[in-house]
Amino acid sequence: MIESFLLNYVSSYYLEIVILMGIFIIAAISLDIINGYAGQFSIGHAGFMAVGAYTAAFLTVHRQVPFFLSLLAGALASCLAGIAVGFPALRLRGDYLAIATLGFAEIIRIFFVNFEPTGGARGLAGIARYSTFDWVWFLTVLSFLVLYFFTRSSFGRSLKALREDETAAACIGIPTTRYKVLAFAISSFFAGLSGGLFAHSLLFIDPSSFGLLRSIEVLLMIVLGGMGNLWGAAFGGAVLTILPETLRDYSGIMGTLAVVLTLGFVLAYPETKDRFRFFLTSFLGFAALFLLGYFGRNFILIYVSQMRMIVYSALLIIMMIFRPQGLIGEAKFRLPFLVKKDE
Amino acid sequence: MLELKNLHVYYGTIEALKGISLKVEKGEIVTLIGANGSGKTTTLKAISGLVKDVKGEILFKGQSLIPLAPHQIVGLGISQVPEGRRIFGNLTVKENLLMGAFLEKNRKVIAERMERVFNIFPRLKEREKQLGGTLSGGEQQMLAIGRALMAEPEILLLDEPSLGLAPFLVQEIFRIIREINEMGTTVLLVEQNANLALKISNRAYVLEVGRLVMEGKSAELAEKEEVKKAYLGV
Repeated sequence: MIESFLLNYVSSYYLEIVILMGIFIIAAISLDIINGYAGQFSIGHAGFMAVGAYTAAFLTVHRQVPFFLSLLAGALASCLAGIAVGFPALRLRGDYLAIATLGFAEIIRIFFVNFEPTGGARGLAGIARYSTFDWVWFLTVLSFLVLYFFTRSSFGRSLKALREDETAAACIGIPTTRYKVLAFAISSFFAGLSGGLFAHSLLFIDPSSFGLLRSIEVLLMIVLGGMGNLWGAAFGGAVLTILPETLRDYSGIMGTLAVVLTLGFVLAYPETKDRFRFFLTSFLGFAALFLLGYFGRNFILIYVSQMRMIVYSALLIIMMIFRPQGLIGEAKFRLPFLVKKDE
Repeated sequence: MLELKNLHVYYGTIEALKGISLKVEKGEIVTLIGANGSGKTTTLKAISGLVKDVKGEILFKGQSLIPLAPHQIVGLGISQVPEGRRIFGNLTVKENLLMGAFLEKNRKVIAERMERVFNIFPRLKEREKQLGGTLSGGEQQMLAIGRALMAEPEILLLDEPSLGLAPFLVQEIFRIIREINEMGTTVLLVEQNANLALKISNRAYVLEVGRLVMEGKSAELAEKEEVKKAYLGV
């Protein structure tokens, strides 16, 4: 509906990026529940996405189940997997939990490599393109709203208390074990949803789509945007989906640098008394950018394909040095029409 | 109301409590004093269910607490203010207090309790929107006590409320503990500051490396030579 309208104005390439953006926003905000709010360090999110993706795709391809029901089934299957991981997670903390979740994701991946009904290592092909713009963004907004209310409820507050101090949380009567499992269950439900959408957008999935790198990518999104803040996670998800794409060509690299520099200046000098320095540095920055663009054009054009990943990683490193709390950090936007003012 | 019978607590192979028995009656302030490592904190942790390797009996109104998880024990009306305050640093003062009323779902009741806590600690009202971690030590202690009170406990377990506070703040905290007690909450107080603890409490127990060595009315204990020498620095 909206998709066909949008296609009048943009090419399907851009549309696909926007769709992926929605999918990864769901993945990122769901991971934020475990890592950001509950403070449990999990790096196995791709595992949950894989369960959701394979379940949903298998159902639509081989069992002709309607898309929405398949998505739901995928999310529920992933939720069960989340509960299964949540239990060992009760006894593990920090690095140990990270390793356990990583191991879990690998088990899932290896399982699908050897599981013939879903094509094994050859992957599952012939998936219909159900993940339209409308579906994806409808579910993205819905997921965000659901998680938004979760995190603002006493449930969300309890998770934060758990993150801050587990002993104190137990002292005031929070059933810590139950809440950890619950956090895993909710988070993996939405991860599964995101995986199902992912499968029906790429039309082909194989186990290598859900390796360690995928988990780390999602983790990067929430770290980049700011942990413990749904807005940050969503923002990080959006940025890290777009970034590798914009870095594909010259104008994209320049555009990205310009945005990053401007953002950097704004963030570095938010106070009015620094306005002079702000203008001075941004002027110098843009001058440098201009010169670089002018004289470095040929150089950059030649190496652009090789540079892509270098620029990408360099940006991440710079970002962690200057803005370790994430782009958005703790800043929050109230949804004023939905939430009472004083809460 | 609360009774420990021949309680042993183990950390691995170490026996931290070697069979202690004590009683807290309704409306009392009972204090546990003793040197470092004598087992005061361990006693409180055993009561609130934070350590589980225990032998003996812990009875609250006749019900055994040993098989219960910490949150169930809170539900019975036993709140602990843990040692070193342990407030939630990245949550606001108000959120910290709300967390204290975790088991209560009725918003009206929660609002009433918060009102009460703000009456006891007007300072917290002023700092309502500040992050817990930005409060001073004394304010954090107030917040920790306030948070425990939000559960409206029948008995409050206080672990070293004077820890790391300036002397005049210690006085203030003890005055407030008394006030809370007068409003009807039973208090079990663990304290290194034996002088003040004996002053505000009704009865006291003295612990030495996991054993009870003395017990009695606080005023009488404070007069005993051994206590004076060992704990009051007289």
